[in-house]
This record gives sequence, C-alpha cells and structure tokens, in this order.
Amino acid sequence: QYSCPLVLILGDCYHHSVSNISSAVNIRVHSFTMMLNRLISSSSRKAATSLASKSRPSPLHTMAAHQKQRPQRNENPQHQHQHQLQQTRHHGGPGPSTPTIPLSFLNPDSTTTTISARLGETLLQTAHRTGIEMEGACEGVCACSTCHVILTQEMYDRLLEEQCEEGCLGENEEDMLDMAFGLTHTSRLGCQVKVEEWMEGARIELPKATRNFYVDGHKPKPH
Amino acid sequence: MALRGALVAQGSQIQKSIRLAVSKDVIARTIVFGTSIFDTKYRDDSIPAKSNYIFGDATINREFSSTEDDKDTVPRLSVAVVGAGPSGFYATKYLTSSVLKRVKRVESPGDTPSNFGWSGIDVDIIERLPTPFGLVRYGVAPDHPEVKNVENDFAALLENQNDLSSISYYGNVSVGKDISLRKLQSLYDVVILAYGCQAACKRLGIPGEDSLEGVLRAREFVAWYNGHPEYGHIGSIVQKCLWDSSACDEKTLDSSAISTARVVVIGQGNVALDCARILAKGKPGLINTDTPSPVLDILKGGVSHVSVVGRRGHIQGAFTIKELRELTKLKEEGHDVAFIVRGEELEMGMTDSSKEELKGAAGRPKTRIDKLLQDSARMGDSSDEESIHAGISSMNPESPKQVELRFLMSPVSIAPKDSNNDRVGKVICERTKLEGEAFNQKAIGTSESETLAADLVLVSIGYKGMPLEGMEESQMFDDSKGIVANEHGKVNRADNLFVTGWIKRGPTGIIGTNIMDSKDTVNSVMSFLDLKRNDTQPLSSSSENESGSLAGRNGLEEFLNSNNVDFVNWEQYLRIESSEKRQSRLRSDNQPREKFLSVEDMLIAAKR
Repeated sequence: QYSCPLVLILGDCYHHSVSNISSAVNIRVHSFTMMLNRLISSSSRKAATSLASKSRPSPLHTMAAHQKQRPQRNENPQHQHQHQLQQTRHHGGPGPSTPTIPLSFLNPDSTTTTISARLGETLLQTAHRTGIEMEGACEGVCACSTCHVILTQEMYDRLLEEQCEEGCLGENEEDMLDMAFGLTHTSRLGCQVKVEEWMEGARIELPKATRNFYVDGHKPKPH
Repeated sequence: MALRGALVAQGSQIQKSIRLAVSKDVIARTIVFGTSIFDTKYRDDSIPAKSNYIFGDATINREFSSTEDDKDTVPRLSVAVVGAGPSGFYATKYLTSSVLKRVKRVESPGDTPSNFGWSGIDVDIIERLPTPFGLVRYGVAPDHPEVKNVENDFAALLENQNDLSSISYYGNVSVGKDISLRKLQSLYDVVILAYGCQAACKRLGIPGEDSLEGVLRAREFVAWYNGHPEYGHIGSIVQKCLWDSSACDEKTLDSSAISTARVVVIGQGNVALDCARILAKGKPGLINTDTPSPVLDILKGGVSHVSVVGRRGHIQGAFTIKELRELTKLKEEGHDVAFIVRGEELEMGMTDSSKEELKGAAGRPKTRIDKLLQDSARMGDSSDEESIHAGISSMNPESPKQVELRFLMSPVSIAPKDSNNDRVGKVICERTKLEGEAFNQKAIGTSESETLAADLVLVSIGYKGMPLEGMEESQMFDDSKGIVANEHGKVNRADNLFVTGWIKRGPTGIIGTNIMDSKDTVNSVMSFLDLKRNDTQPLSSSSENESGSLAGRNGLEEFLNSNNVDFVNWEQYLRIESSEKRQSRLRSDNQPREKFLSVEDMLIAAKR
C-alpha cells in the first residue's frame, strides 16, 4: 500500500486497467478517476484527448462525465467554493461589484481577521463569503442563535437608533438572542445586521468558548 | 494518499518520464502502469538501483519491490463517528477543518514533513437508521421547518470532497448490534460517539406511571408525530385516548372534529410545549407541514384541553420564550386556541429567590418570559374591561380549544378511570411552594391537592442516555448521569474513544449548543493525536491492521459486506429523500415531504 505521495506514469494501455490500478493503490475507482481527470486536464489536455480518440470510450471518460452530472444541492447562483478548509456555504446578498468597507472580526482564538464587507449584505453573509468562522444553522432566517456576534457599545447603540423603531430589537431577534451562548448587552444576530458605510473599520467579536463551560455547575439549558 | 502527478506517456516517453520523476528527488513512489512487466526495454540500468520507482502491472497487484523503507510514509487519519445527528456532524466538520489546517501548515516550505503525522482525514459517519440528522428529523416539531435548514449545512459536508479529506455515510448500521464498538475502535484511529439519548427516559417514580394505558413518554409521542419508524405503535394508543370517549364512531368523524379528551403534559421544557401545541393545532394547523398523513388522521381537529404542569414556578420552567410566545399567539394566528395562565400562580412563584434569578444579563431571558406571562395572565382576567373590549382576551369563552400552563403543581400519582381500571383517568397533584436559594429553589409539598382529569398523559421530564451493547463490561457508562464518562470529550476508560453531544454532556441544550460542545471534543482529539505522534508506537494508521486485514473505511466495508449488513450510502439516502418529496405522495402542494414510516420502505426507496 502507498501512504506517501505517489507519482504514476501511465503507459498507453492504462485506460484498460483503471479499476485494477485503483485497487492496487487502494483508492476507489471514482476517486482515482476524479483525481486523474483533474491532473490530466490541467496539464496535457491535448495528449489525453488524442489518446482517448485512439480507442473505444474508456471507463475513465464515462466516469468523468458521470461526476459532472451529479446534481448540485445548492441552487444559489452566487454560491462560491471556498478554499479547501471551508465547506459549501450559502451566500446570497449583493454581487461582487458592490462597494465594500473593511471590517475586523475578533475570532474565538483571539486572532483578528480583517475583510472587505459589501454594503447591504448581512454580517452572516460577509462571514460566510470571506471564510470567517461563523455558523448559520437556520440559514439566516432568525430561527437560531448560531450567528451570534458581540458589537462595540458604540456600534450597538447607533444600530439601535437607526434600524429599530421603538428603541428595541424585533421580538424574533430578541427571543433568539435569549438562547445565545455568552449573551451580552451588545449582542446581535449576524443575520439581522446589514453592513453600512459608517461601520467602516468596526470590530465585531465572535463569542469565545470557555473551557469551563461544561465543568461549571451551570443551570441546565432548555431544549 | 496524495497523488502528486500522473504522466500519460507513450513508448519512449515512459523512460524519459521515469528519469524525470526519479531525478526530482521527491519522496514518492513512482509506478509505471499499462506496460508489460516483462517488457525490459523500459527498464533502464542507468537509473540507480535505489530509486523509488517500481514496475507494476494490472495483473500483479502487490508484488512490488520496496526500495525505500517506510519511515517517511504519511497516512491519513481515519475517523468513525457514531451517530448522524447535529453533534456527529459538527464534530465531523470541526475535526476535518482542524486536521486540514495542520496538514496545510506542514506542507508549506520550511516545515519538515510528517510534522503533524497525518496527510489528510477520512471520516465515516455511521448511523443506525437509514436516514441521517437525528433529532433534526425526529425531534424538531414539524411546524418549525426553518430549524431544519441546518440539514443543508450537514449535507454539504458529504458533498464536498477533496484530495485531502473525504467523508462517507453509512446508514442502517447499528453499532453494538451490526458491528461492535471494540471492532470499530480497532479499525479506526479515532472513534467519536455521538449517538445521543435515544431509548431511556427519566422517571417520575409515582404510582400509575408504568401500569396504566394512556401514559406515554413525551419522547415517544414526539417520535410518533414525526414519523419515526420505531414508534408507529404509539398511534393506536393516542387514537384510543383521544377518540374512545366520543359519542359517535370515530371513523365517521371528519378531520376537523375536536377531541374532548383532556391531555395532561407533565414537565415544562420545550418538548412539553411542542406536544401541547401539536395537539392543539391538529390537522388544520399542520396540513402544510411534514407531519405524516396517518398522524394527522389520528389528531383530526386537535384536542380541546391540554394542561402543561410543572412542579416549580414559571421562572424555573425550562422552556424558552420563542416556544412560549408561539402558544400565546395561536389564537391570533387562526388556530382558535386560547392560552391560559393563572395570575395567582405567577405571584406565588415570584419569591425573593426568583427575583434574584431575574437579575443581570443572565436574567434577561427569564425577565422577558415573566413579562410575557404576566401580560397573558392580565389579558385573561375577565375584570379587565379594556382587554375585553379590545377583544384580545385569551380566555375568550368562544375558543373551542385551550392550552393551560399550570405552575407549582407536583404530580403525586396517576390514577385510573372510574369506569376502567386499566386506563388512565386522572393525575393527582399536590400544590407546592418554592423554598431555597436563588438557582437552587426546591418545590416543597403543601397539603393542598388538586385532581386533573386526564385521558392521555405525556411525561416530559427529560431524555436519558443508554450504554451501547458491549459497553457495560468496560464500565465506561455513568448510569446516574446517563452519559459516557469523559473529560472534555475524551472517554476515560478507553484509548481512542471520544464523545460529543447528549451522550457526552446529558440531554440539555439546543442544536447550536453542539457547536461549542464539538469544538471542545475536537480539541481533545487534536491533543490526543499530538501525544500519539510523539510516541514511537504507531497507531493502527496503515491501511492494514495487525491481523493483516484492511482497516479504516475499507475495513468497515469489508466487515459489513461479509456480515451481510445492508448499509445505505449517501447517494442512496438522497434517493429516499427525493422519493419522500415526490408529488404523488403529497397531500398538498406546500407539504415539504411525506415521510416513509418504516425502515423497510426506506430501504426499498434507497436501493431502487
């Protein structure tokens, strides 16, 4: 078995032995062909196609075609693939040509990440688009508290003044915030705050986990 | 394994390619395929004998000469997660991301290879039912569809594979029955238990709790109305309780008929409120949800009287404001259900200690709950002229249905009907009062008692965890707490075993609570891996374990296949899902899906 980087040199009859090669090197056929396809298409496209045309349709080709046809779960056209560490996220919100402002996120591990936030998108959309570590379990419809953010007093107060009619947040958001871990007096849900120009340079804090969370004699959380 | 390059070459190109690959001084193995092993013209004596290249042919799989020893091989971490609910998925997500962060860090220039010890990660999520998602599918109430959106996030994990990580799903595999935990631990580097609290419940410990027909655990009732394949039998019990006393033959009643049965729910968490709300709404209120049609046929127009009884005060109730507010708004949303709460019970519950519990930022949620309940009680007060005129009295005598919250009432026994000794007829409660310090108040009995009529009793005082088959011997399980004993997610009495979710911390919290919980467990896994890397002894990390048979994912599949376990992979689950959404199955255009109610039907849809 091979558990180190592997270089394959494939002779002219390789496409007849794809499945045997796969089992020999201990990867499943479709993973093997997926990898191979990507490598071939990025390097010698011409060589591959000329090779293919010489013989009858190879299993490699039909497999590659099959891969492409797999239905996409997310139909959002603005869906972007992040780098390998992030999974597919839902985005939505204003398009790439929208003006942006810099915003900083204070991460749970105490590092700070500065990104460009598009005007009009919600903080949740910003986070997902730029790879900030924020969950959005209900997908931004104010039905959970996983996009909980902590704002500076200044930002919190100004938002309250500008965005909320009666000087308090909507009932739904308040109800959801009640369930957020590490709730503060300047907490908001990321999906309910839209980016505005005056927020330029603002710092948004993500709630930290404390090691004592489960050791404390905490009163049990409702479920 | 990382495939660094594939060169497609012909004829003399092959020789050139070999020289190229070897000369790069890459720590790699070069294999030449698709040529005859006997074709010596490709062997070049000018290439040094100790090079990393070997000839392989389709027909000769493992007879390769190894010219390098294995000290530089970097395996991928193999992980099994038991349970495909929120905790299992979050653990998978964060462990994968943590491992990839370390792997990527190692690959940058300047790092020595094998610094981390793993070149990637493969996770197998193993689930007892054919369908994943755990309580998101079978616990979350059908009229809370937005809470189920999290399924998309979880599904995305399975649909995003890359060169360094892969995640697979194995449904319809019961760990403990189809494969032992011990076997799993021997196949994988790391095993994470995330199987929740499924079959047990906390008990009241009062007479009549177990012996009378019509006393159910709320957990069973919830599983039934969500179509769980193991709880179909609950339907006939509910049917009997709701409709047996009705004057006419139940089958002639139409689907809007309201049952005059009195339901008593014992306990005041969100599960209790869910039960009350579902019973009150009935078919008309649930027609466009994913409540299975046979369930709606039994509920019909709902139930006229539901009492939700708690032994402590309203400040101590475990429900959250969102669920409470929903009950107060049922009437205005057209469900014709009055919401009743008694002012005097709120007053009695507002002890000095309770007032303490309302203070500060931590007291905010309870303060808002108190206000909402006080407003509701006020609105129901018939002496309040203003509210009657405004027509917002929630004690509107014209409401055919009502849900009532009762506080400071502790059930002391469950008694049968006068007419039938086997069926439940009443719940006898004792009035309580609160005594003690803030956050530690106890409900002390007074001598006052009250009898509540009850045709159906739902006991909703908490889930409980159970050990897996085979766990008892190793004493991993803490019976008193109902969890697997652990330290920040690392199981105390085992080597490569971890826990997350309810089986780690007990049955508390909401879906989002698992985010922090899983991160905590993942931290423990990463520490464990670092410790192991420093050991000279390797883990069962190669794709073969000591006995020479396969390990990891291949080992799992080999084992399952040789034991004829009919497992469901992700693609097959997607077939179940799309079958449930097929138009021909649906009762209305807006119904999200009509669930399969048996494992058999699921498997048929999966394997079509």
